[in-house]
Amino acid sequence: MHDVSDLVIEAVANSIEAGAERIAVSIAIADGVVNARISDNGVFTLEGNPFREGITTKGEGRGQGLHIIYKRSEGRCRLTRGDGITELEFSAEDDGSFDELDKALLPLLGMDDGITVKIRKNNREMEITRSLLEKWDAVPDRAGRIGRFRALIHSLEKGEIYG
Amino acid sequence: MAKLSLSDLHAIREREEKNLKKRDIHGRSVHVVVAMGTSGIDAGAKLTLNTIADDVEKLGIDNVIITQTGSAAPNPEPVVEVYSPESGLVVYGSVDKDAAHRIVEEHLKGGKIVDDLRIELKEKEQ
Repeated sequence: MHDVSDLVIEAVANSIEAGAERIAVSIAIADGVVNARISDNGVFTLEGNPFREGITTKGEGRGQGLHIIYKRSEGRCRLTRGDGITELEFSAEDDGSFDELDKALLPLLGMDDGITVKIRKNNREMEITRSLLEKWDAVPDRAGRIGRFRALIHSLEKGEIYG
Repeated sequence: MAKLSLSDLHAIREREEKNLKKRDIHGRSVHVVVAMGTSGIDAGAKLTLNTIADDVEKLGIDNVIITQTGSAAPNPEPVVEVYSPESGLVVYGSVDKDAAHRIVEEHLKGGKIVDDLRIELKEKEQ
């Protein structure tokens, strides 16, 4: 069963497979709801309802990601394209999967160099970019850096100044 | 300066080839890849990745680089691939939290393949 933070990973995986060089993730958690928006500059070739099961640009037998987002968000999702940017938005009930933010973000930020994540939680907004991670030697891909990554995320959550 | 014998030259070449192989993997000697496609995520790959990352950090295993890839279907997920110059490519299937602990402890730290978790990688049918 996918949790809500998994849906964001699915969306980013879609962006990567569409050849996106820049992926912007925006997550807002408030009043028991998670609102997420994933924008990318990848190729968009889809026709018809992209949220229907089996509809895909990835090849035979694939294309579950958007359908899972549709089901999990109970239809509160939309996909738009304009000015070369594809934007996926969805809302889902907060299941607590962003409570441990470092665990939710570690898989996400390790996926691609071009990802920027903005997250608004507990009335505090954080922006995590690859250059921020590199500046703090905290790209979470090896011993030493993983601990720094978790410490950086915890500090951002507490509102300590980084950047 | 003493002349090098033929066997000395062979030994040097062998040593340098080993070093080159290690440098090939982003300057690290071991590469761990966690499959994070739809079915992998559904099977708990996020927890697998976080467990491996935590254990590598705790044990201070600094010759390992951890990355992610897409779906490993139809293999039993979560799937973790470990590549090292010593053992080559080893693929593990159904890697839950406990299995992830064992892979780090026994393979990444101890250098011993965890045979009961190992699978033969199946290619997706076209």
